[in-house]
Amino acid sequence: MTGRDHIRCTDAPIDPEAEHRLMRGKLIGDGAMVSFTGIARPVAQDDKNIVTLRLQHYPGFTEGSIAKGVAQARARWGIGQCHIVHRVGDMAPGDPIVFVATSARHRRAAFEATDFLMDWLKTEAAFWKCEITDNGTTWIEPRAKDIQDSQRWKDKVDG
Amino acid sequence: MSGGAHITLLAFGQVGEMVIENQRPISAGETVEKLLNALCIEHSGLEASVEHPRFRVAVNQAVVPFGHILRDGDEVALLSPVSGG
Repeated sequence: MTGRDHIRCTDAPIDPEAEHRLMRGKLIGDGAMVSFTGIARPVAQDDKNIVTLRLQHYPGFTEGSIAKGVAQARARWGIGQCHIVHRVGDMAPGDPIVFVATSARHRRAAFEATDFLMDWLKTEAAFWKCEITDNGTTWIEPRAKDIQDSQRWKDKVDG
Repeated sequence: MSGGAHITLLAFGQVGEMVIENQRPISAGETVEKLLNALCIEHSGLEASVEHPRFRVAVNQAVVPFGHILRDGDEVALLSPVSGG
């Protein structure tokens, strides 16, 4: 992780606008900044209404698993700043769950790096997620679509 | 706590619902595999989780092979397959 990386897991609500402003304030000479905010969905994988989404992390280890993705993004797209905030603990549907932003000299690198980092977070980052519905608690594994999305980047390298 | 070598055991995800996080003694030269075998005897249902191809064990925050030898003071984390964020 470099001084240009901000990786934080927090059990406090995420304010995407505040994180966006924080990131913008750090830009040095970059002409593009792309951000993504993920929102906790209201419907579980079994189509039941989610009461609570619970996300567990392993402090230190989880941030390290995210930093590996950031290092890959930096090596591949030469991004400037990177800012990732991930919610952990219990949250309600509609709560922001993740904020990811990258900056670069030009827009394409920032678009691709942010897209890559979201795929990384969905498949490689050390989080354990369970959906709590009226039916009980279900631990979640990455969906086939998430793995397929993540595979795109490997295919691009290998191809 | 009595003398001798001990580890701190942590467990995440589904495995965390089966295994109680605690300090536990280890014998000289005890491997991760031996620890897992003991835990599977103590906790019914754990074996299926441990045999999952994406189950991992970290020692002092680094993923290790099951042949890794544990030492006094190690932090051992049982990592269920990750869900992603």
